[in-house]
Amino acid sequence: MNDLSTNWNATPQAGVGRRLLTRLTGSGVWRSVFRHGWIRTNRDRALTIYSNVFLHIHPVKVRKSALPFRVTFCLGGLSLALFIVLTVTGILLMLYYHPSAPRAYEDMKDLEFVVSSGVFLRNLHRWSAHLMVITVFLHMLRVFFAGAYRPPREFNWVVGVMLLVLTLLLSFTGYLLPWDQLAYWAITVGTNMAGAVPWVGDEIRFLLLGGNTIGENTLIRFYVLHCVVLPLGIVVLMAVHFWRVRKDGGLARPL
Amino acid sequence: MAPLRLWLAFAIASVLMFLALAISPVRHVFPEWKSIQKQYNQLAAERYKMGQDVRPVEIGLRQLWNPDLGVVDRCTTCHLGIDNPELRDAPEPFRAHPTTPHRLEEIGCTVCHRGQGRATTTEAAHGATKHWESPMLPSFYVSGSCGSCHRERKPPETYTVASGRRLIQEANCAACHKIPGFSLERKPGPDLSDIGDKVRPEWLYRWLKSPFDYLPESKMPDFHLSESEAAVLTSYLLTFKKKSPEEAAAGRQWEQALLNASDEEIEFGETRYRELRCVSCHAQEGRGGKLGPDLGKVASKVQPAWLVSWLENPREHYPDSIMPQYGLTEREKKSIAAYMVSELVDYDADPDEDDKILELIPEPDRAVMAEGEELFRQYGCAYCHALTGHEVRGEFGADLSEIGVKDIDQLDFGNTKIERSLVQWLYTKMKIPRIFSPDLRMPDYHFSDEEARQVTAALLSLTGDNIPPKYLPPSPDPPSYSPSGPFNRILEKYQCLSCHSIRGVGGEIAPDLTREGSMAKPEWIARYFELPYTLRPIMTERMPILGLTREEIETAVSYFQLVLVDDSIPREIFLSPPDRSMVETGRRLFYEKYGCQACHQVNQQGGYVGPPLDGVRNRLYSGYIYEWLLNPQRFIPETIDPNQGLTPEEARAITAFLYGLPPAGGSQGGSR
Repeated sequence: MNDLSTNWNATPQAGVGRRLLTRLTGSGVWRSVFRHGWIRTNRDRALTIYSNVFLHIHPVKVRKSALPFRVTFCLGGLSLALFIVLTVTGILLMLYYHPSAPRAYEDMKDLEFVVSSGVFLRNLHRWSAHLMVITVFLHMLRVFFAGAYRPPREFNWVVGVMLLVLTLLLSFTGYLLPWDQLAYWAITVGTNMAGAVPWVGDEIRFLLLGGNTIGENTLIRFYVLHCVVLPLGIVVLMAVHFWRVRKDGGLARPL
Repeated sequence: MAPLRLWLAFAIASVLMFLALAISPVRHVFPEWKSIQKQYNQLAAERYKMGQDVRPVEIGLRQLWNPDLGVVDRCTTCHLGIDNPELRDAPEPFRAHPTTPHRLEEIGCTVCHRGQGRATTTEAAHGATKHWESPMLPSFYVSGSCGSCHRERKPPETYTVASGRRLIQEANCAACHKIPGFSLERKPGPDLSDIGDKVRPEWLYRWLKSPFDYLPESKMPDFHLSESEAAVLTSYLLTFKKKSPEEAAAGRQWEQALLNASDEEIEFGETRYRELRCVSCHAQEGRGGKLGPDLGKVASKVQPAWLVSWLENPREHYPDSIMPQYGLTEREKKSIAAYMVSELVDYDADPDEDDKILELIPEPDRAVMAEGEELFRQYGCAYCHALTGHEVRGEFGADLSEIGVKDIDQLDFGNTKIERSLVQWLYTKMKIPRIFSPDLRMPDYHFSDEEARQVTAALLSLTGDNIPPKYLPPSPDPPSYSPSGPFNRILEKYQCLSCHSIRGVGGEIAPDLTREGSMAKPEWIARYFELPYTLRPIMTERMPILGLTREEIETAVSYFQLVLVDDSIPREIFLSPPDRSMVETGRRLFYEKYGCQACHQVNQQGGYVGPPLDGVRNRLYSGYIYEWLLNPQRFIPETIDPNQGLTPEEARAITAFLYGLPPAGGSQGGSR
């Protein structure tokens, strides 16, 4: 027991609830996980943040002047929320989807006709993806017009641009997975654009397609990119992004 | 703390959001197919009370699955009665499927009907949805799907596809288009190398302008040429001649002689024309055989001199002509030609119009020749007609190998208002080939509505290689028969295989000769060659009198007896004459039990459908009669002689009775 909980010792006057809470936050299991008791002082608040991997990217204090809607338009938060929706629906969709040429389109049809709420799931994923691209763009515009890319936030602007690119790439790779005509030709056009890069264009195109034309190799490549590589990358960059918001002086506030 | 109003708005928005999100899962709990299944269960309960064997089903999705065919058909979720014959009269979607030789649970539904098998709503399943490439076929065209597996030219399983393929063959679509199963064996149109010697200019113009006006059943399609195009092409084609000027002069003399022929000569010609049965192959005004061109108006078409030289030896003009080479005398040739020139004339033709046409046709100068050449190439004339210096390479029209599964997005509907479906597109194209764009070159075949539907069905069967080989019916061995030596020379000279077939090779309008040596006796065959007669009273005489020489007849008869035999048919089944009681049994079976006299004549009494049976022992071997009685369809699958399921003893007795029948009157061994 450390001294963090001493001033929370249950007194005979304390109610049953308070006594239970004190007992819970004082237990060995609680302490092994959270390392601190009930929050009462600013120090407790700081400790909570410092000792938690999820919370430590969040500022200990947020100024009220940074919170009004017209300052942030919640665009970053909306993007994160949509990303979470996409992750959840995406994982559920992965349960029904085979990234193989003969099955991919048939799985779309099964989602449409026989999977419980399959249409809902797929449409939710699709519309969230469209919305995320939009909110990420608007977020960038907001940051730009607010001049929030200026030092000391210049590195976070760069991270933000990388996140934008990753968001677009996630949309692009997901576009192929339904394996219909729209998907096929969109990826044909997209990879041909990559092929137009001077000197190494053909190599990039070959790398993306896993061959010279769209086929099973392309499908599996895009599937792995869409479900593993790009989401991992975006999560890591998002962590850096949020952490830097705090480190660079907090949310949307003139320095 | 936010004001209460804001909290309230947040709460309401949350509830609304939740309700919106709940719509989809709730809809999934009450799908369309569940209510249809409940309707079925009501129907089943009613029918069950009426004593029919119709059981209710458990509510749930059903599907037919065949990974080889790529079939996942959930049609049976709603079509619950397809395999229950009790529901033959039930309303859709519960009606029983008509009987079919295929196991529905094995091949599924969409293989034949198309549509979207995976779908579970009526609209999407029947395929009337956007972006679903193969909607359900209208019921008439479902037979087109039979042809996707039954790929032979004449699948007995489907009349529609067989008729469509026959039309594709007759219209010679494969000349310009790549069509699996069809190849251009020989050009269907005549060789044009001597067209200038052969036809009259005014006829050629009229023919090019609209062939169907001259001959309603013309095999040449209508290219919808303009007047000037037809005139230029006529002028261009008439320059192709083979005759030297001296021959042409001789020809003109001939012409005079023919036109001045006496009435007796013409009458003699007419008699010979009839006796030789020219009409068996050449119709007159649509009546008669279809093997050769219609001759009803031939005098208005060809030049008389050409007619005589043609009768002389058809193969000198066209080496692969199917016309037999008759052994005609000089007098016969001239009289027949004189008869044709004077009698087989187009009486409707207007001489004034002829003059007008002749004025239209330009002189074949350099410009006209170049233009004619271009027209000849542009319309692909050389794909059906041989003409020196006009060899064809590659396909001219579209590749039709997968036309049956063509995406609608790849079809040009032009400005037409027709339904946007493959079936409607094909049908409309068959009816009016150039409707979708004025730049199209496909000619008009004047298909009737029925024919256009049949061709469409046959085209729908061209679905590429989407059927795994193990589901394809075994293809019969391609027929092969290539005789050589003296018999082959007879076949060549008289073009026997234009009408008869041997081992699957040849025509279909006369009997198959594959087993002739096991069927008919040599003496009868020899006599038949001298004077062919019809075996069946209701048929008109068709076999032409070819005038075989004695040696040729001997060669043919011995070839029949040695080669065209089937060892499974015994020649004679009676070693000694059958006893009287057996003959009597046969007579009773013939007249009383099986009523054979309904179709066959014996002693001038009986029906007219089958051949008369008097003196049949002079014509047929007893072994063949016996085998025929046991199973007529074994020899001619489409014969109408019913298979009565005779026991061997009965067949033997009837054979004994028939074998004892004396010839009726004459010594010819037949009925006449």
